[in-house]
Amino acid sequence: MSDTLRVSFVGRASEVGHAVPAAAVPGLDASFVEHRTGQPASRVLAHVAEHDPHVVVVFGAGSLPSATVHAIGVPVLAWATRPDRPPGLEHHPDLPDTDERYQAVAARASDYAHVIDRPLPVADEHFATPRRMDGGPRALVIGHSSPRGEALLIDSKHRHEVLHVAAGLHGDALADELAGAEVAIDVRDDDKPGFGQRVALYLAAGLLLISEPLHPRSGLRPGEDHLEIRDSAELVELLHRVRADPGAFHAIREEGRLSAEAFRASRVLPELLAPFAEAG
Amino acid sequence: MHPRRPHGGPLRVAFVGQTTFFEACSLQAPAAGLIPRFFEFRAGGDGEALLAGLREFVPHVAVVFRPEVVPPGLFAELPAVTLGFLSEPLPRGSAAHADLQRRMRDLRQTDASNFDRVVSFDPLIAATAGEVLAIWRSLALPVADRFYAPVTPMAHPPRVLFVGRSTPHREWLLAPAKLDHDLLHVAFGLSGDELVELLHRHDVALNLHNENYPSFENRVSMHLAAGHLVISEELDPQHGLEPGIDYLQVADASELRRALAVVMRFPRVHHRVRVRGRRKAEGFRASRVYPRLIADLLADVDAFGSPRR
Repeated sequence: MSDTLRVSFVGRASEVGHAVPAAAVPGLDASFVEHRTGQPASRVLAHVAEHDPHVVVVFGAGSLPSATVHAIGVPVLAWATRPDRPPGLEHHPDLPDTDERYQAVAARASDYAHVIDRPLPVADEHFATPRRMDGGPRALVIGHSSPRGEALLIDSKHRHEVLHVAAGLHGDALADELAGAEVAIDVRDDDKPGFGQRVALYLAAGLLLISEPLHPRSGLRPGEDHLEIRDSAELVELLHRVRADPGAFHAIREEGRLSAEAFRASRVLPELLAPFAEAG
Repeated sequence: MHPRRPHGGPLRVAFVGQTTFFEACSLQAPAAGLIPRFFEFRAGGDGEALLAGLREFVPHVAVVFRPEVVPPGLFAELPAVTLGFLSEPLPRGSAAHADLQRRMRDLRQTDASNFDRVVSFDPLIAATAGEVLAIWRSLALPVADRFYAPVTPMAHPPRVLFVGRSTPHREWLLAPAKLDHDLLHVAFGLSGDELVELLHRHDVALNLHNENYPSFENRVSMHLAAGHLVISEELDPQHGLEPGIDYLQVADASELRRALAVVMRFPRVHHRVRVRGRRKAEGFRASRVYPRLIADLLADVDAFGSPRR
């Protein structure tokens, strides 16, 4: 195997694309193929044939048919993720979740060489220095809405400058929105502990992360590299304080940016994936 | 009580509302003798700060979106003709969706004495709203001129946009479409230049009701003005638009999915619908609607007076 690890990533750009470097970085030649659950996998196989990767990583174990996973001639890993869509759609007749024919052939964890269950890394191109902008700081929310999440956000949306993009953001448009914000808010669908899929992205982009308590914390330290909120009133109040004195939170943004180094794709991915390539 | 209008001279018109939602419905540049200025005001906002701004501008007319959020008595001493513009759906009968009942409760908070006249965006809610306020006219929310753009060739693949908050009803309809396509869903927070730029970067726009009840959302006319192909749930009222001619109508998630699949595969297939929709959008143009509306308003108040004064 050469020094550069070739990895093909399979997933939805708008959900996980920020985890995969768009260009080669030292030690890693990553390629990305867009694939949505339940759609024909022929494009995935063609992509693998063209890029000849050492390893294939599939975001969301069930997004490919089992037969496709086994048809790939190199180690195939699954990265555990949840689809970025709101609760309440479990019984939707037009989604693959309820399509018995698809569920019968969908890959399971056991079809993969390994299942990775850790926070998503952040592509190197998303790392940026925290910076102040003119005017009141804008807060950014990326990801689907849920009744619980909306209850947490709604008062802040009406009192502060909050941009919420619920779906479809990736590539240059994602980079533009990150560059246009100073604060990011991460909320969950339910009361279960969790670590949002874009938490590390926000920190890497130099934003002030305001989040419900993270579990596991994955090395992050509330009050030092990000801020915690527990309810709507706390979020309103915190955004008010940020708007009144954005500079007072700059040190937390810088600390968050430093903490994000632990999620840098060019650091995380070669180290994480190389053993599987060698084993294959 | 209101500032004397110069005979044939310009009229200062204040537009009052939450910028995110209503700047796009206002007049944003002088037109036909109207000199507009937008004033940010939202539920729970600082009424005295709003009044101070209005006193400085000295408007002849104030057009106020969502009159129900204006504090009681706030405009009692405002020397301008005030026009409330109802923009929210309301019950149309006794058996109403819980969301509509909540909005009706909000409307009951309105201080009718703040307004010389009230317009509703939907003629079908006028009777219900009339329990609280006398409805003078019904007309669709206008579209600011800056949103108007020519119909241009679609990108390949076409870029699809939905601007609107997330609700269970909407997400149910959108779920298959979001699975199939990179549909950009902006749930909150864009206005002004950013919204205009976003519209110009897209070809197809969706309109879905908040909940499972009929209405006419102003995003329909805004997207038509931007030259988009609009795919919408059934509109009621239609405000002169015709399904299948000015926009595409879908009934459920499967139809929305199929409609988008066709457009994605054959981007030009509904080109005539875009052209017709764009032409119909001229009827909503702010610089066309407001001069007539305000002229009628002043004539009506002059002729028949107002309970406010």
